[in-house]
Amino acid sequence: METTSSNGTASKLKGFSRADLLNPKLPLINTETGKRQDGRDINEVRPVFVQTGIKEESRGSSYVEYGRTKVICVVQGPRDLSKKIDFSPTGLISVDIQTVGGKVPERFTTLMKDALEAIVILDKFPKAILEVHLTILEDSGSALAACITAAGLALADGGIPVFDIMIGSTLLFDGKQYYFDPTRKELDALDLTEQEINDVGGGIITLGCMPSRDQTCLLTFEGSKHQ
Amino acid sequence: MFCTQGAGSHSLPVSWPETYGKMSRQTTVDNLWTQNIRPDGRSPTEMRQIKCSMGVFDKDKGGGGSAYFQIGNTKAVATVYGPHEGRASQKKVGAANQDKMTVNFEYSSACFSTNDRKTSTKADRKSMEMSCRLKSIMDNVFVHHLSEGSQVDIYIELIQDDGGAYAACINAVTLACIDAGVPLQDFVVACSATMAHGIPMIDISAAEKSTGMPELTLGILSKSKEIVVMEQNNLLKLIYFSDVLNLALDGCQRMLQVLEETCYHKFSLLQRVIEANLRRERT
Amino acid sequence: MAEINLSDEEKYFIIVGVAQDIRADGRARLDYRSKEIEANVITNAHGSIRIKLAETDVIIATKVELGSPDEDKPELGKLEFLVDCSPLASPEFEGRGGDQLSETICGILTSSYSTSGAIDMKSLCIVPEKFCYVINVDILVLQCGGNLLDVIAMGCKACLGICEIPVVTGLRFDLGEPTPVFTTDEYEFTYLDVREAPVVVTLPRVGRYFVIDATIEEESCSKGKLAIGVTSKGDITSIDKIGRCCYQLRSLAASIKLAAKVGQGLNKVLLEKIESIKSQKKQLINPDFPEGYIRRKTYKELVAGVDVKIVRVADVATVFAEEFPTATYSKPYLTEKLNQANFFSSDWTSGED
Repeated sequence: METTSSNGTASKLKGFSRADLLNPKLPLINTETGKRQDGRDINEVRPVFVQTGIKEESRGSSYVEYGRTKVICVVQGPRDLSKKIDFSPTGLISVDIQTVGGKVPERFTTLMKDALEAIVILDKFPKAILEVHLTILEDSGSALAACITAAGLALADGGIPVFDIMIGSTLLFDGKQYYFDPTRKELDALDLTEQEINDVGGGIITLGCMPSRDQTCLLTFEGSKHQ
Repeated sequence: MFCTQGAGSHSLPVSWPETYGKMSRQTTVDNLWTQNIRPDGRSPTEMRQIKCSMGVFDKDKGGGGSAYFQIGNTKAVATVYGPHEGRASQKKVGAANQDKMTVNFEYSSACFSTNDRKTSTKADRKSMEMSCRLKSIMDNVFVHHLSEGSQVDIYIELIQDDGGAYAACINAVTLACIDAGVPLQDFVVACSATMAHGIPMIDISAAEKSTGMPELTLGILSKSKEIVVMEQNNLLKLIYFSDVLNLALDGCQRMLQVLEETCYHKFSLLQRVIEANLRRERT
Repeated sequence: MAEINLSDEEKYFIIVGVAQDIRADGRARLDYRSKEIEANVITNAHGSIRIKLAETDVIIATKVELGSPDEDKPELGKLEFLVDCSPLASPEFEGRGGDQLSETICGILTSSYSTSGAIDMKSLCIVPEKFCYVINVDILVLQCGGNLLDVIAMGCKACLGICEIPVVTGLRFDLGEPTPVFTTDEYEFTYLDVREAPVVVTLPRVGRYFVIDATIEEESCSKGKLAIGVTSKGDITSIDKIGRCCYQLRSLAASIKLAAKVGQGLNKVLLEKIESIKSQKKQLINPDFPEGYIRRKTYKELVAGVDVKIVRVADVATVFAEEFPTATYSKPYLTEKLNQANFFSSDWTSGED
């Protein structure tokens, strides 16, 4: 593999010039090497690291890394409902997503709540509430997918009755190719308002999947997709 | 027609009927004043057209009711739920006054109701104040001993505000309460009045209000003619006050006719059924 | 979502009915109910729609404002959605109760409109980096009776389609800073091109089948639904899963195909409606009135579906008395006023209906 970078920095960045890297709209893929900016193949995911039980005093907890995207999930409860909320025949779930020095889109919370309600067996703990706290330590792309995986693991770690664990994954489609597990740079480089993409379609799909039941518990798609 | 006169700096264009043609805005308005014609073509004692109806939502609200009241371009919708058993979260409040009916009022205005777009729709200070004011007015007429310990939820939404919104809201709430069958002692009818160039005028529009004319909102009980609400803003000289007040009273009377007509229309069928039953009993 | 409580038997009835392709109101699974669209109901907005589908009743108004573009998108205008779930629709929405639903709907609308080409955002830019049009789409939910999301999305498309964007006639330079000057002519405006704007098709799954245009009873029988944004070409602009449900990937693909088909049909009907509203308006832009006649109705009333009537001045009072028997206009007064004020050609009924 020939290196063409002018300053010869990390071997990861093979095939990209310095000017390329500073360009906000840098090409997602190097035409010479067929690799992405960080040296991955298009269908290669970033290194994943997971650990459970990272916080002792909670019911369940987990830590997930998708490359540089880092998420901590802590599950507490099920606890009695506070007096403010009326009686509920099934369990309730509250989700709270925080990030360090930033804002999380409101949609994430709603999507996560729906996904968690789909996998937790809520009938097992009526009149109680399960609290799921997620903290995004660093968002370098695919944070929602990492949150899904972390929440699934933390629930399993805490022994909460669930139908299945859940695995999250993000896919980027730029009109030509599908990219697994995109980084923030790649997501930013995809401009949905560009005319070329308009012609063929393009977008971002985040999927939460329940592997042993072969079902999806979370699905969101933004962009346009032609039939 | 002058509806965009009070538009804010960021609102887009001020419309002016093209048919006024070459006349400048000010000369036209002055011409009209000298002929005793208000900017929108009304005479001083003329009200804008009123449209109102009861039971506007086809869905049965579990013993509730609704009403729509429109005067000119001012539009208000009120919905009443109940009377029903107090909700759990409000039971504590209910326990304190078991001998009374708990009334829960919420006023909100649509973000497109005024010329300047509102960015928040709920729980701003103005809405809360309006809820409190409407509640204190309606508290005068509720027959509390007939539904002790129960709760009534009254929601009112101002869809468009083109002057006289406060009066319109009061009328809408009255109609909605009647539609829902909430026991009331009397109609509460309200009307606004104003004053310019020494002439008292009924039913102020937003265009007139934005020129700094005073607004007097008067609400009375229909039978006893007692005044339940009287509010005035902007400067009104004391010598003119009684004239304006009398005109507003007159307006309330006319408003009452409209509301009563609506009720009769709504309940005429019911009445006929009752009459038929009575006749059958007699024979 | 405002939900109602159904007994198990009622749910069973609905689910079995859906399985046999006969729903509780007699429709098949893929039948849409008829909708009523009323245009220009809010006179101080740049475009407004009241859309009613069975029990669901929504008012949508667009207001165009002057704003500045986002720093990272200096050449694009802005489109902002705000959903207000009024407690009129359901007591659940009291206080901040409707906020979650509002945010969900806002999110779905924003994501389905953020696609390239849905609306040409570049046409909304006036001076790059300085000024752009901000179109605020305000949605007021008056009544919530099932299929709310579809109704709102259809209303938004129609409302954006008839939104009258005032034309910029020039730039004024104040201390070297350019400020756009807007036309003062009420009839000088442009329309947005909404041919590619998406509608949202919601597919709740009742039992084992997807249904479209669900009633509130059917919605309470399903655990969740898919909301799919579809353009008139049948392209998908967004997919969102709402509620606690799971789907197999196979059924997902089938449902997306179904939504695309339904969405294309909806788009076609909507575009026709938008065109008919626009053409009614067009008649008025060049009104050709004979001398001595006045236009009886303002264009807003006309667009709202009222017949055009051109009335001789001498007959105005009679026509008024006939048409508005309850109005407080009295015939002698009206005649007198018309004689006094020499502005027959003026449209003095405007703003008053």
